[in-house]
Amino acid sequence: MAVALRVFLTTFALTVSSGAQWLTLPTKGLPRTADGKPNPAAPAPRASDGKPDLSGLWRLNAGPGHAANIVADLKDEDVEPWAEALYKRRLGDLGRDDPWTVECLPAGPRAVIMGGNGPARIIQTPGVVAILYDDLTYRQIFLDGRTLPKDPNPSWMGYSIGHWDGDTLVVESSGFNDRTWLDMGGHPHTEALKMTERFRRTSFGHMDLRVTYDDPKAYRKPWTISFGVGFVPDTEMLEYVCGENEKDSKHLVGRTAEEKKVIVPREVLAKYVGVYETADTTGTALTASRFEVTLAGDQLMIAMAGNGKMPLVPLSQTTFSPRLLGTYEFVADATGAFNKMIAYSTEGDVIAVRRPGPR
Amino acid sequence: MKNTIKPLLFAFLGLFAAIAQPVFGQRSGGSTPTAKEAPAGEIPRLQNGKPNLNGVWNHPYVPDMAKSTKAGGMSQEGPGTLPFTPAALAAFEKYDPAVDGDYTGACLPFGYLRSFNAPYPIQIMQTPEYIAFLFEQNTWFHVVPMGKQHPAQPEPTWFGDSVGKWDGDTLVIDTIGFNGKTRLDTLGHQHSDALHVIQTLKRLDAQHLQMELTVDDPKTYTTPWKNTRVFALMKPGQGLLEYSCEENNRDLTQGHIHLPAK
Repeated sequence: MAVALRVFLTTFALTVSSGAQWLTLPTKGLPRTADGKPNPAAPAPRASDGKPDLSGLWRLNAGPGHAANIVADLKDEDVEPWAEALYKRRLGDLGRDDPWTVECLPAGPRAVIMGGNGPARIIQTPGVVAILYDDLTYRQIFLDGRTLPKDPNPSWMGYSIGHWDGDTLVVESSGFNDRTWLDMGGHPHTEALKMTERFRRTSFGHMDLRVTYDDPKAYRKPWTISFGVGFVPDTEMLEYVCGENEKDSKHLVGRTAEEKKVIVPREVLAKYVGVYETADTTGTALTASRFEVTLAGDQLMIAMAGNGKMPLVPLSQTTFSPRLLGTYEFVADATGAFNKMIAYSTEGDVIAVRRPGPR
Repeated sequence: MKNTIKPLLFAFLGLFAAIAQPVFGQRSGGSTPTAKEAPAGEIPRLQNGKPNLNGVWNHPYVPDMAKSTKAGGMSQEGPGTLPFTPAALAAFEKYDPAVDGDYTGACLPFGYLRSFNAPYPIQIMQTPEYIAFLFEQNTWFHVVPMGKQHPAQPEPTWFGDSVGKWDGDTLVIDTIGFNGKTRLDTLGHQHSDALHVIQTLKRLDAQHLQMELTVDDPKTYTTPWKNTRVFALMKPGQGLLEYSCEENNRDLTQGHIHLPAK
């Protein structure tokens, strides 16, 4: 169960109403329109102390771009060389030693941008806010006036305190161990990591999140990512037990020896650059219909549905993996032009054709 | 942090539960402001008038739900012997975790009742709509929605499907929908997927909470039976610690853990 389902569900995160396929339970107190549908535009509820109430089921996901590459917005020189080298190795191994998805260890900071596999539940009480993830782990954010511990025992999920800045819940976290990854690609962090999250519920159905990362031992300057998340109506969380019937890990070998030798020249990579749009599918959970393939230095990148760029790791001269969301093959036509891309996944294939126009 | 031979050790850990407590004196705190405490004998309440169960609770370690024990302000009372069906009794007498394997050794969820029976503290988070139990044991949790009905066909799960309601000042939680893969306690008292747990929680005073469990499982026990226990509120500032079963768990990753066949 460890890896396959998690990747599958991450794919599902691109769809809007996947939760409803699992369980349909009306959410109590949900504002509804005249036709009975949930009304996400209704005002955000308030707790008994007058603060916005963040309680509820949320899809706390930053989208596959940042989930794959959290430093997408940083310049190359802002990443310490050791951190870049470790990231490249983990990426090249296709995440085979991922502590979360393979070893079933706690998600650590990745919970902040991925929120487990499906919806996560926020429970807000005046002194403490808990975020419950579907992998059965939780975080606690204390609002009782305590300070962050000065010399904490490093922990997987860190220590978190919060305060209200107007209608925004500001959460500061530190005291992480250095064994977790910041993203699915494998960007590392040190025990010096500090994170600041800002939660602002703008309506019943929407919350804006800003997450600032500050880890001077691995990254030369702090950076912030912003994303919006949606309330998940009329369903409930299901259990996800990473270790249940776990048979994947021994099959995860990363790239084969042959695949590791693959070097795709820049001029070949340049032939793949372009915007591809879905022409046909054989039944797939991958709902993105627009793929943008770009080149950054010697690194081929892919962005799905405008969701941020993920690096593509070469498996052959024409086949690549972004680790998340399938394997991609660029297919030449009779003239040798690469105008077709096939995304292979367990659930089915997506055939996308290049949009005509300048590259 | 990971105690790789935990399942076998648990049987002995009960003896150490009292001794182990001072270790938890190191729990984060100190900088925490003193929580407002209700005077002894008075039950703190939420704005909606319901008893306020919020807090971090110390509770008896119950490796054997049949027995009764008392330690400090906490106690628990079992029925003495359990009303096993003949087949279930034979299976229980044959059960040897060292031979048969204990699923908790593979870091699989303890399940609902065994999470309450584990030795570590439990935090209750309460809003009018939900009660959440945060277990220190493996940093697991369970959520109880208030005033809802069970789904007609609940998904079988490790922790079951719970619904809660108030009967006066007593919280009543009804839980069904178990996958039948867990055991009730460390000793290995078993249950089936027909397990139905009725749980009542009553705040006795500012410092104490009583929990009564009724175990109803006609496939395993001839009649429903009860276990009652008293929780004690932990000191202000004492909180849950993080617990990762998988951390450095070489017994598991190197294949030394004997998993139950089914």
